[in-house]
Amino acid sequence: MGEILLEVKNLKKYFHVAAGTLHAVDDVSFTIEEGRTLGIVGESGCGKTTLGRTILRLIEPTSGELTFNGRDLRKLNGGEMRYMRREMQIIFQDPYSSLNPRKTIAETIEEPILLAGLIPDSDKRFMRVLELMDTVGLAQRLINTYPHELDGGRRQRVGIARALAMKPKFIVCDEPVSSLDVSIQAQILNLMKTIQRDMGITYLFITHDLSVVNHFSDDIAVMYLGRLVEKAPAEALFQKALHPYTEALLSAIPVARIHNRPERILLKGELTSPVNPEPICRFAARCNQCMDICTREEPPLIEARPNHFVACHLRKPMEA
Amino acid sequence: MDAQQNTLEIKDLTVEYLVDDEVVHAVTGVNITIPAGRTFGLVGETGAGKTTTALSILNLLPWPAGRIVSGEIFVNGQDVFKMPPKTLLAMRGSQVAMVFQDPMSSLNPIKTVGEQIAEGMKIHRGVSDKEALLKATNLLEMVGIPGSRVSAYPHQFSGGMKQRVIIAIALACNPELLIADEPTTALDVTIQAQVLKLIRELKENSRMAMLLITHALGIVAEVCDFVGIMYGGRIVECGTLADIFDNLRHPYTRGLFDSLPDIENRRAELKPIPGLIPDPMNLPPGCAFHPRCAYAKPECARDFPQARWLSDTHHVSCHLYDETTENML
Amino acid sequence: MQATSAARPITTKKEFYAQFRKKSIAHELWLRFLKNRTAVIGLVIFCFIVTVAVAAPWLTSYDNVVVKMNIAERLQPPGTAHWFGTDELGRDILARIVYGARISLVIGISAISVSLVVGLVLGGAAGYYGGKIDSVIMRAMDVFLSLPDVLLALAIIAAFGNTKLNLTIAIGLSFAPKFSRVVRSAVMGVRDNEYIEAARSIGALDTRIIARHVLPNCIGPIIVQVTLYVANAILTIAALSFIGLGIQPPTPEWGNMLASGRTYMRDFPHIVMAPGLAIFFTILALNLLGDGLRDTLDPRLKH
Repeated sequence: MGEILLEVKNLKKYFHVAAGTLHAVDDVSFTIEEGRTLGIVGESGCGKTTLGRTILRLIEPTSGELTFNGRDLRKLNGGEMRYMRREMQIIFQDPYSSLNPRKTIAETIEEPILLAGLIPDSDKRFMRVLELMDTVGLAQRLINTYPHELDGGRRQRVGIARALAMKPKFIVCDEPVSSLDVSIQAQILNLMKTIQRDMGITYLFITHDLSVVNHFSDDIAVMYLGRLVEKAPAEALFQKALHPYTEALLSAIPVARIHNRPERILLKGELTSPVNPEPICRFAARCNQCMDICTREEPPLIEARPNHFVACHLRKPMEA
Repeated sequence: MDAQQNTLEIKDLTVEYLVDDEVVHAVTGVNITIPAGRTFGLVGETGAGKTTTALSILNLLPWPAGRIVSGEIFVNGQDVFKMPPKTLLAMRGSQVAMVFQDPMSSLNPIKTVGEQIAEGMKIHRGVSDKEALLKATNLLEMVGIPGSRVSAYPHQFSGGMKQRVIIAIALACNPELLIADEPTTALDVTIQAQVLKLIRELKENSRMAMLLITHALGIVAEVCDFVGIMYGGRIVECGTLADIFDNLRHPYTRGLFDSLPDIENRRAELKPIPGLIPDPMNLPPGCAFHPRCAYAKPECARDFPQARWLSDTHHVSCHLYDETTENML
Repeated sequence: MQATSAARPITTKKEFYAQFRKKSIAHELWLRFLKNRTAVIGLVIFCFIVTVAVAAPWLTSYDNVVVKMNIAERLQPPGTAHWFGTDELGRDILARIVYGARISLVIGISAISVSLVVGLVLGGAAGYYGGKIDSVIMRAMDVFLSLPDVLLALAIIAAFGNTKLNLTIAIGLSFAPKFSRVVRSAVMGVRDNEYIEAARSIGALDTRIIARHVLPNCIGPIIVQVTLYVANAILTIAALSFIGLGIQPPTPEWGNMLASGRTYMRDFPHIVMAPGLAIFFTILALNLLGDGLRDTLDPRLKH
């Protein structure tokens, strides 16, 4: 523990659209240590999904640095990147579209092993598939079932087994439980935690659900319109959020309690456009603590408390 | 209950679907009563039968697959299944309005939002075009959208605003009953907060009754007065907000609350309900929850437990309470 | 389920697969297809036509019956000796229809096979890669699409000569742009699914992704189009032969039979009715089959 596995520096992903340039991911930087989980939270349009895919170079970054296990990912060519992918995997959100409907689940789980050429012997490879199915809690009798025969929770387990097939070090989890029923969500989250403990995997956990991310992450980064607005260890964030958006986000979580309900901070207005954004604080229009400087300058990401970063003009950097 | 009439009374509703020659027992023996001005939260997961129940109220089940086997539904004392078709049509959109889950597909892309809001008014109230437009503008303001956007098209709105437009459409004729099927599920959390606030305000300022369908207990806690927990097509527990949140009795209800991550206690492992949600085509015999229930007894696999009243407002369908009303969990 | 005893653990893939069999998707689709009555009718008629065409050499002799002139027996109406009657040169019409079926089916199916291959390659590339590749391929296809089918085939035949092979290629090429469109839209429908991205994330090359992940999931619309385009191809062959540019007499082809029977139509309608009805039923059967396949494979009706 303690070794930095992934370092992201000034990562940008811009898309060219009819109206101009869409700043999907705008100058994001963070590190993740081995064996830990970084949660990325934000609402629609914040860029978290694009961020996950850009880190794996499933979408090519526009600019920025990506260092994984000491290797500069952006310098790798196609073949080298494919090789690297054995260590960097992804679990998708939608259990309905992330599995090929024409392949049995055994075939789906086997494919990465086959492609990597890790186990040439067909029987031994099959045994590994069974082992993986067992790890994720899928009964052996399901080997020849097709995705449409299974429910969302089981399909998601197949997705997890596929991601684990090559024994990766790092997995990007893109809203892995958002499409599942509540009682199943808990099952899958517990499974993912167990796997992390047993296999020492590092997770990048992308979600919009704050209650889940609190439970599942060591550190949490909050994104808004492509920018990282706050990053802190999970307890610190929930105890005292420093960015007004984070405060509003936390207060908006529906709480399943009828007594001692928290006070809600309501945001005014709607998301501003991520296309050709102005170099000011992107949250200024909706912020109830907006100051004059917020409408003129973009706030830099500073360390306001030990290991607690925020991009807001309201906060001052720690005394050195 | 109240001496005055209940806005909605569903009595012993049983609905089946016919799919590929197989019968799906979507809803069995459901009873729901909503007095005027109150909100009833119908809680359940996928396949529990919530949407089917809602569609039955306005006789909107898909035809010919959906069939109402038995039961009665009264809206303001009128029997929905016995009324002449014209009356039913008149009721839809005016006395009873419905808000569906997905705002993206509920709006007609080629009509302005003003036209869509006004449509109901023109059909049911015979209002003139000019008056309808004025009312539509007011309604938009009421749901928090600038009135000037009355002539904009749906694609020019974000998801949260679309959902508010849909609520405006539903409110256009001052309905006495609003049925909202997962109205905030597709929305971002901060937008959801805004929409829930709107719903709460509507509750306070009118006598409108509401049936709110959701799987999220957090939302229920925020806007509902009564709660019904559905599983496998039946209501397994029903009561006031306090009954369910402070005094729950059914093992499934307990499981639902336990599966939620606790903000206060992040380190604790989640306690999911073991097993899978039952397939409506293949419900377990007796109590549909028994294969997953930690308290299951032999009779649970044989007979579905009859509803047992624990108080004036609270009833539960569980064999744990065959002999006693004490909390058995 | 457990037929074997638990004493010896299963260690080979084969044994596992034997115990837990794959559910056959094809079987389920076949059952669903059978429920569609018109589709089954189409299939039956088409199978009948194919059987007759294949069995032609055993049913009648080509040299003696189909092409041999027999002026004495010319223009006889349908009767016991000749079920469909004889044509203006005394040849048995039924025998000619049967052999005509061979020609239409062989050329029609071969031509569409050519289109399919071209369409899969071009449409697949355009749909999968999008962007510039898509634009270039589709604009090229648009050029060909702007020409009427028959005209394009005509031009190729006129330029390269009138042989069966040229006819096949000509028709094949004239349908290729249409196929490209179909394949392209099917691919684009599949491309945005996450399992495609998943395949990339586990290290699959584009060729593998297209062959193993994209195309197998596009088969539905493509198969439907195949049946419908075979019908079109047969019509095109008949049209070309009718105007004298396709199959030449004395080789029997429904189109040229219509052409030569035209002059006798008023007094001896049976000469044109037979080939006309043959074309009609073949096209009908293929269309019913195609529509039936479309309904069977409709993804919205899936589970």
